[in-house]
Amino acid sequence: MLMRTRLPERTLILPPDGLVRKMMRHPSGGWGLALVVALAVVALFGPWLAPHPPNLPDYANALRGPGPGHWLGTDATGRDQLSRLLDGARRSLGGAVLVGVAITLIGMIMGILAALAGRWVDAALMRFVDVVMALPGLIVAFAVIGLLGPGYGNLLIALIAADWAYKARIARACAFEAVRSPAATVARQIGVPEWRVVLHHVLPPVFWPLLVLGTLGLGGQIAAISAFSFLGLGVQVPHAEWGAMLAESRFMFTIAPWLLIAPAACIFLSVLASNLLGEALRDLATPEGRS
Amino acid sequence: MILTLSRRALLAGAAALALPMAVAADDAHPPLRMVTSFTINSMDPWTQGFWMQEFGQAELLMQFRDDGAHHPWLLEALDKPEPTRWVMTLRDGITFQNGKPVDAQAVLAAIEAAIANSASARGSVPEGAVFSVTGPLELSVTTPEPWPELPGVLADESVFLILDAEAVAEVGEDWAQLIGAGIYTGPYEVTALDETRMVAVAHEGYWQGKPALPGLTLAFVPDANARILALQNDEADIALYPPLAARPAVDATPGVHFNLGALATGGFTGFMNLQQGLLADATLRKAVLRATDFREIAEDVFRGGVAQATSLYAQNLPFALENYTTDLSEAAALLDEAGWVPGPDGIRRRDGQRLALTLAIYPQQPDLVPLSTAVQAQYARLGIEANVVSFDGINQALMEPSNRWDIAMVSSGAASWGRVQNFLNSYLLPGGRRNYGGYDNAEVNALVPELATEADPDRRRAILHRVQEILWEEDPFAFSYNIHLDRVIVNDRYACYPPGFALYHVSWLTAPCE
Amino acid sequence: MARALGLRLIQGVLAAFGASLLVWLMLPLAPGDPAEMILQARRVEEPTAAQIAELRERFGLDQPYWQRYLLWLAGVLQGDFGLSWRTGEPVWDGLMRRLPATLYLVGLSFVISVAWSLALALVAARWVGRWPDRLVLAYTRVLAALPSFVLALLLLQFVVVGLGVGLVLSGGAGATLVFAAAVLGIDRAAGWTQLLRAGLIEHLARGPADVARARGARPRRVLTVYALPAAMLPWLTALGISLGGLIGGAPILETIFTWPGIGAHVLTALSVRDVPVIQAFVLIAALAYVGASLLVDALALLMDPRMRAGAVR
Repeated sequence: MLMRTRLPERTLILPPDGLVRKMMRHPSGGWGLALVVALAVVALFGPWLAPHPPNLPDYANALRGPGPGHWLGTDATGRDQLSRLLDGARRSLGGAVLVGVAITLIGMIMGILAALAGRWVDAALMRFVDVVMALPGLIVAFAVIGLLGPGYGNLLIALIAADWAYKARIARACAFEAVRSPAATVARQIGVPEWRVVLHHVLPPVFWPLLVLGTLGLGGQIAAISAFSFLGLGVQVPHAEWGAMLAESRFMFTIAPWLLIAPAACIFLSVLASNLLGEALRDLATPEGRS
Repeated sequence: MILTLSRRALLAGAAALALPMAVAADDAHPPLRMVTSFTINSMDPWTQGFWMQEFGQAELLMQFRDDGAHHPWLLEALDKPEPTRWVMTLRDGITFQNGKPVDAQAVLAAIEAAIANSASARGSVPEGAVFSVTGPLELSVTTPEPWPELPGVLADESVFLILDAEAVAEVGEDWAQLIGAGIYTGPYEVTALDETRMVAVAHEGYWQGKPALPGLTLAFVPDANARILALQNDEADIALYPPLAARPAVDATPGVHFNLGALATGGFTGFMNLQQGLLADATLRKAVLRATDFREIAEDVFRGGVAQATSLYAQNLPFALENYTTDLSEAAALLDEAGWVPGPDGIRRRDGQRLALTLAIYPQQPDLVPLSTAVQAQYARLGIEANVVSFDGINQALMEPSNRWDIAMVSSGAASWGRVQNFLNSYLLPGGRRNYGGYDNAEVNALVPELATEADPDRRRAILHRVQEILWEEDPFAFSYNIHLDRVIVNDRYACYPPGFALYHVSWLTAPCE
Repeated sequence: MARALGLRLIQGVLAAFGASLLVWLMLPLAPGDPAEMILQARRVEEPTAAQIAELRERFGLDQPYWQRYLLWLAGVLQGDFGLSWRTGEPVWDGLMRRLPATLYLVGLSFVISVAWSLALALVAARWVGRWPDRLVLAYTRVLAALPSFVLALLLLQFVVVGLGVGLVLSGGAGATLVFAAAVLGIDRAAGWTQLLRAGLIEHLARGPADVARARGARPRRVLTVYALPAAMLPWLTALGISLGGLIGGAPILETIFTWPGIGAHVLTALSVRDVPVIQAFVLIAALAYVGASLLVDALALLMDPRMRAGAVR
């Protein structure tokens, strides 16, 4: 969980053409992509797909096993588990994506800023990054939640705080080279304004490695959101979230195993899917993988 | 060598063995193994001492029992010869575990030490109260005004624990020295205390008789699931603080039982916010009360794991009314009268404004999840939309004006240890520390201070009845969603163990069932 | 070389203290009055004004934040981490009492995961592309996607209670340690196996291994003598980096297995926002992490003579 996935720092990774087609041919990428697309649909449209209101109790139908009407059974208050899983997907998966996007943006901005400004700005930013990276990611997350208190928003802030620094360092390494690349130098010489140089020659070589890294880290974010919610430090009741659902139903293991199996399977599949996709992206993007 | 043993020697050996075994048969029960969720941090009697009362180490002068009354415990009698003077008579022959006698001098020292060191003791004693020794086993307390709550104060575990104040003073703040020092009077004496458990052994000279068990171990396990698994794995006999959510699973597991006990003195209490939002309107508040289905909460939501609320107070308390009735048509009529009419989506509206309320709960009470969900559905039946928010640190969050909420659901005790004054003072009076919703009712404001010094039982009851009436009929604010029942999970050996009333978990008679 | 390591040590320690400064900078963001939070942490529901004033005085809560930080820092430099808001005891005592349990857990899980991932990676690399390799890959994918707390719950329910092996209430001893360490270690081993496997395969394809094969060395010898030592180095560095995951994963498992370590202690501190304990934990964890990665760097230096000449990274 939240293991910082490493890439060689100076590898310039360019967007492979026909990414999706290559992905489908990659041994695990096809599966990863298909699963991720399916999960994205669930996360986006979950609330509309849900057959029942996710938070509505129905005591007469409490602890029903999977069957018609309730395809994944009901929990101790008779809430429909399928609906809660669909509703919870937004928080479990959407939150992870949000964290991923946020750290990619922060990393890019800080990295490019450091590379462009150079000198003391660069030094100060990178020392700051060093300080944050001296701490294991989970410890940072625990510290932030410890100070801000439990809650979904605070959890997302904590996960962003835990993981942005490494992205900033990679982005800075890539941007450093890109800013001084021949193409950028030529563009400046022929009078292209600096913002266009950044847009065309600096952003792409910074963006792609971060995208690969971000995808590789997504599984960790999903697992972290559910783990913190399981501990009661993340999503707060009564809202559905997969880890929180596991925590709510952990007493039911012996009499209603479906209440644990289903959310656990959801977490498992999502982490698996994003890992497979991330691996495929990495393989396609690194020079050795493209051969 | 065995071969050379004569038959006679063997017999003699057997007889020698039989003697201690016969004695041991008396002690046949193994020590009790309990698991609880809270850690006892130290032997500090002023901040952690109340735990000692719960597990058979310390005792109090009075005891609050499930008949709703206070009974003498270390006292022989508690009398009130004059309105402003109480006389406490101690039982003869009680000693601390360390052998020192518990006489009037010792009890006075314990009371004075508590007032000096414990904030809750200080806060419980009215200004001008004077405790004095009036006989070898007799103490008096005189107060400028009558002090009707004294019996409850003496029964409250966080006020006056009877301890050897001299021995406590000697250790300074090195509380670990109190382990094995025998400073209390109870049947079991602490012999070890660390981060994971407390161990206590039977005090042979206990004043009521020989304790039924050789001792007990209390393990601190914050995780509720681990507590239940420990019972299933025969590592514990009694698990405290089981979540109600675990009840169906426990009922279905052989060898463990979910035992429910007597009515507790508190429950999940609703507090309405009069300062912001729609509930400033008393008619709406009355409608909300009548829309609450108290029967469904107790019987369907918690499946009998809690008792149905019939008034602010638990039914077994002598001053409790029975004035709660769920009446949807009356609630609807009240809403109509206030101008709230159903909109196209079923939610009522007035001047284009939706009738939407925010219920505030908090994460430390997992049972509030099913409760708030149920209440949400109940209010929806009447066209009231309810949303749930969860605040960490609920007490502060509710006093913070920038937080939006309409009804707060808080687990609270309206009559802990039979004491009603604390709750009324801090929750209902303007300026009270817990007056979350800004309640300010002129009549209540007059009645509550009157109650504090009213000695006449009939007048006291009349005051409490009137407060309950106001809170239901005229100016609703605080109300019970349910009354808690004491609960505990036990194994077969302790299948008949009733959950401790008012947190008295272990007495000298606690023993396996036989 | 010693100079390079020393420089990194200084950098690491500075970074750790920088991290503690960051935590203090976040303090004003924490909601609620600290004095009330302390009392709540001690389950005092109805504090009096006198109690609150006394606490403010005792914990210096009335001073400005920067002053409190300097005081704290001065204390830390003298080995005094202050008093826990929850228990009132010295933070250091509470952490040190629980440190051995966590060291056992993290240490054992480190050994388990190193041994386990080494074995799996060797098997996979020996039969690259064949069924043992595919099995190992599939296994690591499954394990990497299975959250450790789910694994822990399953183990507790079915092995400890179901089969009666070990104790639920470990009290800090016995078979429970093995279970908790195994879950933590096996969880981590998934990623480490993938890393080492990739390294082994890369080095199997390189010159020295080719030459050895041409000379008729058996596959096992090629793997262990030529590929493994070369692949170990980057792997060890990666282990040092992801050691933080082991430290960070401990709180969750300690809670589930009722293991009386620092992690469970800190989670309790988190739930009541016991700031001094959180502070001390962050600093100690950072220092431990810096120390561990330095150790790994030193180890790598010892193993690879080529690196000794040059600068450290």
